[in-house]
Amino acid sequence: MLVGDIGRAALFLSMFVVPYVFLASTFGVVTKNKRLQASAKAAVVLQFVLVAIASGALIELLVSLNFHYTYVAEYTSRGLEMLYRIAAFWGGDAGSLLFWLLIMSVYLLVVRFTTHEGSEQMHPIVTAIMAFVMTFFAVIINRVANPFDTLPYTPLNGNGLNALLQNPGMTVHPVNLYLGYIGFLIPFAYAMAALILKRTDATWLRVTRRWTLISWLFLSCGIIYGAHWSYEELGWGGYWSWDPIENAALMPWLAATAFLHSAMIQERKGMLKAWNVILISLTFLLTLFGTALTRGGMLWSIHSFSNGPMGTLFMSFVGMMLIFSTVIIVWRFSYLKADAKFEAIVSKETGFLLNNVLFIGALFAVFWGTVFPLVTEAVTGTQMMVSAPFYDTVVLPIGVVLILLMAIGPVVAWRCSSLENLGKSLLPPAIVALIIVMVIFFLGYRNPLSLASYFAASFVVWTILSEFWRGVNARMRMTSETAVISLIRMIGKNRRRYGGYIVHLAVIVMVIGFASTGGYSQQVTINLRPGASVAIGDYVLLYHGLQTSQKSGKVVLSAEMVVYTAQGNSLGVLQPAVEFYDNGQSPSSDMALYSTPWTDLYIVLDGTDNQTGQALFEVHLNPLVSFIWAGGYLYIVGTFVSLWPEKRRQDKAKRQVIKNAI
Amino acid sequence: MQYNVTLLIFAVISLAILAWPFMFSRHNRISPYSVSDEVITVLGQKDMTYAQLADLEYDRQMGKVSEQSYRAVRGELLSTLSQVDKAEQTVRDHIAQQVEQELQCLRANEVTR
Repeated sequence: MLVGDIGRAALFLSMFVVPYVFLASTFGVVTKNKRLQASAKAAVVLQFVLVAIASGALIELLVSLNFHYTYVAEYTSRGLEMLYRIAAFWGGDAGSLLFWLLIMSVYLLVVRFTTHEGSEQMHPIVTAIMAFVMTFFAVIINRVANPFDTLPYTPLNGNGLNALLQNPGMTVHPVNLYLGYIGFLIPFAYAMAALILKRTDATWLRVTRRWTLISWLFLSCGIIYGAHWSYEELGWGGYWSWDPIENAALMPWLAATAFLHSAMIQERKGMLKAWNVILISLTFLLTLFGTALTRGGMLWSIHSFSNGPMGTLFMSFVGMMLIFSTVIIVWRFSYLKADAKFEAIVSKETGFLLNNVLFIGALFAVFWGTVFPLVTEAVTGTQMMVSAPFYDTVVLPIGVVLILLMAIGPVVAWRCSSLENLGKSLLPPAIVALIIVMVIFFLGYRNPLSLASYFAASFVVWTILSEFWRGVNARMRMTSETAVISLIRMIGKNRRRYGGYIVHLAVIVMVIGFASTGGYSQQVTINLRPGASVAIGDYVLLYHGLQTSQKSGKVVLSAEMVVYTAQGNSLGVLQPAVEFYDNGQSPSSDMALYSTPWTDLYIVLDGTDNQTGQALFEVHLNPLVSFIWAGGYLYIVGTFVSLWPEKRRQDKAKRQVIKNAI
Repeated sequence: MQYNVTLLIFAVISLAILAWPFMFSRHNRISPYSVSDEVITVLGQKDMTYAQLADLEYDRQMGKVSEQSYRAVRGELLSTLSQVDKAEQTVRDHIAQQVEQELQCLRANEVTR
């Protein structure tokens, strides 16, 4: 009981300490009271310690399976692996909210104790805004979903973690999503602080660039790992279903990606100030909106947590933050005038602007598709779901145009580019891309959207690689270094630019995966008797029969399938299975996968007849799925290259060179 | 009972931490000599102009701008840079003047005492 009491007491106190951080920071700024601000700073540390104690206590209760606590009894059970006992911390509503508060406390601690040139005045306001948001979470956890609530009795066993959540993805996907979602609070708070202080120059963007990139990276990883998890666990052969909650993660990603691009224009030219503030506010609001959707049970989704009052509370908070940010932006709108104007149609600035229009167009389409069931419910009384064809029709063409922009962007100069130079740079990649697509077409792959994607992807790859090539050549001419050394040093000295190009290449690798699975996946649903076989692509599957085995807390019914090549060579045995749980949870399908870099053979056991041994199989042959996951890793590498700090002395040296040139 | 005792201990420690700056911090007013907004704005403009110059050089080396555009834009950026330099100097002079005035006031107060 002691551990639980410590956790509950720490959590209870945090409900008073966080508002104190908000009030002390706010009045410290207003009255310019140093002691009050110092006390607020101490409260930030105290808040972190209290939430860390509460989190540690909850983890201890979960690990020791203390079923006297409702949360432990609901999300763990005897026999649950240690990894999933810990993961149960964020597996349920109350625990995940505490996990949010913990991440926010860590972020606030880091923000409050790091200094950046020119942002000192912003710190107390940023702290106040972050503390205000945290107050909402602290109150919700204490008053609505307390993970330290106890049962009047102690059950012998718990319900156990949902079978679908018992996957290594549970340790990666939610954590990444939370880190990403919550991270956007920081640039939002800085944007609001900058407006309040009338400091609408690019300082807040420079200070928050790394925070934005880190949050964006976490959110991206969360989405990619989520897709991977869905592919391996849900057994429907796909990785993205346009589920409302998947969309809830995609929407802030779209807004944040637009923001990352438009922020560069403000940093370089002092333009799009209002737009950037609006975009980061939108990103933050969409993370809250996504949380409201996940927790509200307003829309059906496999990801939903509950149907309690949480959705209403979160939606009210979204409304409150929307009003707050709108009032601040309108109040300071006169300070958001651009320092310069667009000078030419053919320029990097115009490219970024078009990029933003497309991202926001895609965002609007996804938003409309996501909230449409709520709108129809409000008007007609029944929810009308929007399915994949809507998104495929609207969002995918926008995606193809965005990819084409990735090809044009790198070859266009800032301010103005000549059409002649642009033509010279773009014509060779366009011809190469066209030849590649024609070859693919004549090989018999003729899905129009996939072909358009292959064209755009080839175009981008060629353009980016030639950009690397031209850069290396220019450097080799000036320094007489070898090509490899030039490449490494060129990337090292322009990490932001070349990190961005690597991310673009990663996106292209993923797009090739999306286009291939979207256009050329094959599927067979077949009922087989033992000894019968089925052919798909270059594989032949021979069904041997069913097997039953008893595992910890479940009975596993598996089918044995031997995989052969078309030439008759054995590749091994696959065992798609259905798992039946002792605690009465719905059975779950455990698909079998034979994966190569080029194809995934994916088998799902859909039904069985234990008397005859017949089994119903769903067999998928998905081409180039591995490209999606490989692209994800390259994406992480590219973002790290962009994130890696450049040496200060290099900046100084650069200034000196330019000064000397003057 | 156990919970109430734990809560009480935590509450007392928390209050002590929060009250610490009020009891032991000597100076209450925030120093007015933080980096001025004007300096930050000017340095921001300077950074922006340097970044534009660096981009222009890069675009030229990569053959993305014509020689004519390069010269025109470079001239414009250098002129902006010299204006920013002048503005920076003015701001710095102004700050130095303010500091000098404050010092004189402080010295005068010392003498009066």
